Amino acid sequence: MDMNKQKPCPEKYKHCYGKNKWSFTSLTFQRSRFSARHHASFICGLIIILIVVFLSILSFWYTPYDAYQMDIRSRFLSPSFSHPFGTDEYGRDLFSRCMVGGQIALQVGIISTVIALFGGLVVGFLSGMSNKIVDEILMRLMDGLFAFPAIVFAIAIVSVFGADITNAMIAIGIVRIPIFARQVRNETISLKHRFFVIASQSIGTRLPVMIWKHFLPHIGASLTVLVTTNFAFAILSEAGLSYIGLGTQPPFPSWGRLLMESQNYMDRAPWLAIFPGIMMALTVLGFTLLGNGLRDFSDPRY
Amino acid sequence: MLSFAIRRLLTGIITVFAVSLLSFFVFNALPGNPAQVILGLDADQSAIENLERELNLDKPVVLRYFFWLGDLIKGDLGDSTGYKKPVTEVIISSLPPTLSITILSLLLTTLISFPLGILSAKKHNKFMDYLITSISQIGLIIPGFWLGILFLLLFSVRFHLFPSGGYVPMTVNIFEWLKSIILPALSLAIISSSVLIRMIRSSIIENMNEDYARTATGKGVSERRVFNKHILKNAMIPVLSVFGLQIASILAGTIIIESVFSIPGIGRLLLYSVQRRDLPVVQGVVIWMAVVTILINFIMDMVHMTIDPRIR
Repeated sequence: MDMNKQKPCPEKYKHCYGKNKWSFTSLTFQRSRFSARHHASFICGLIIILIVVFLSILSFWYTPYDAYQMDIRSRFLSPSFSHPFGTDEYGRDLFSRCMVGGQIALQVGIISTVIALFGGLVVGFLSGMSNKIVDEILMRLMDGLFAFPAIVFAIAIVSVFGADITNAMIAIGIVRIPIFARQVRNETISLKHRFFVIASQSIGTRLPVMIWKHFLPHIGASLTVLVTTNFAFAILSEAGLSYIGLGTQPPFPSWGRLLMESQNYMDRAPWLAIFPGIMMALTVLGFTLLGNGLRDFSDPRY
Repeated sequence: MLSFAIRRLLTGIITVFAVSLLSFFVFNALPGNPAQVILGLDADQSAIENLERELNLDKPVVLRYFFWLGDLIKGDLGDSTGYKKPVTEVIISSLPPTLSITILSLLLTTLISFPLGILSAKKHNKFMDYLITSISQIGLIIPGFWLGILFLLLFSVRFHLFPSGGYVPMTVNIFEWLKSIILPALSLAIISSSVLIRMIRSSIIENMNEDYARTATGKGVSERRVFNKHILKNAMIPVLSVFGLQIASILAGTIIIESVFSIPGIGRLLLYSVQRRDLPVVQGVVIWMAVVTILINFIMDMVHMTIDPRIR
């Protein structure tokens, strides 16, 4: 009898047959792709994010006005058709500057999230896969890191290594490692005792393969939720740091920095204090809505 | 119950230990010789060596950590290089404004979030519920400091109702004191309330659908009594730990909000110290903040334990 002959795939599962190497791209995502169209908050979030990403990327090549070029004659122009967000104390167009600010916000989001994600994966896997003592030490260290309010830890890093955007991004990333690490650790521990992992172990699968093939796909879905919410968090933190002058340095116009500079001209040009904030709130809203949607999809009860 | 308290206390102490380790690592990671930095570039070698011995810099790094930890436990955070005073003294002198804002903000948070959260849950899926939850969404997406700027624009630039910044101590004029801290406290309170309203709402709704609530109603207990005596009591248990987190986040929020309203509290102190590279003060404030956060969580767990019989 031919043992290798496979049973034919049941009609019901035809659509995901051969795709489920990544459960998160096949089964979980299959379901989510189906329901994503009906999830209003997910769609709204996605649209907002796409607009912000489009404006930010566009600003590398094109802004309506030069974001850095001073033009004293057109200073403090209130919002109008030619300057939708008005102009600042040097006559620079605020809309163009907000577009460039989007670049910085996304950059901060991406880099700090990558740091938090990789740090969290490494610490989480180490903690979840090793014995109790290593696990305990790592988790207590993570507790310690988590005890620092994010902004305070970022200020500590920046005060030692100097105030610039790179240090701020790294600091924001490091502060968020515990959140990712805990999630990865808890899921690793619960997966470790599942039959498919034990079975895979028994046929001698090596650890890297195991992590890549069995652990990551299962953890992936919940990590995507953390990643989107982390973007929102990183953008808000960077804005806070830049507002007190410890994040983005001049002349780069991050949204937080624009708000800081606006405060000297509040009576003359209130729009300077309003529009960068709106841009920031919209972006954060986008990521929050996206995160809510993704959370619903990764929740099996949904 | 006692064993839970002791276990919780132990993890708290270990976390403080981890905090000290991380802080020491961050603040001593800087390349370069601190003695050289203090004495300047043209200091002669013997003076540097003397200071190195005084600061224990000639010892290995592990030993230095334990010396430093010993001082820390005694409450000695070193001397500020800018103020020429012990760091503890500098921090304590900046505490009153920060504490005023934090306490008032907590009070406002409680006054805003509990009534609105309960109302929202009672009117579940009605217009009032949608209104409250969508307004609270706004509080989740904007940073507290921008709300502060908007308040400044509205209340002090436009209507001249409040001062545009500064702090009046309570002992000088209690009315002016309140006026100087109400806007920063309110901006932080709105952000925290948004989180809490949602938490309170979902927790109450979850408990409304529990079997015990139905049983109590079936027994003939009046609806109001079921809500006040049974549901509310149980629903507050998870809210409590979120409330603890909010205390910590309000405290952290004061750092930036103090800059918006130019209030001379811990946040301003931290900022000045960073600008003047007064690292002992920065380190002191950072450790202080982390320890206070751990302490708040510990207290919240203890309160949790006393009201939730399941933990005992």
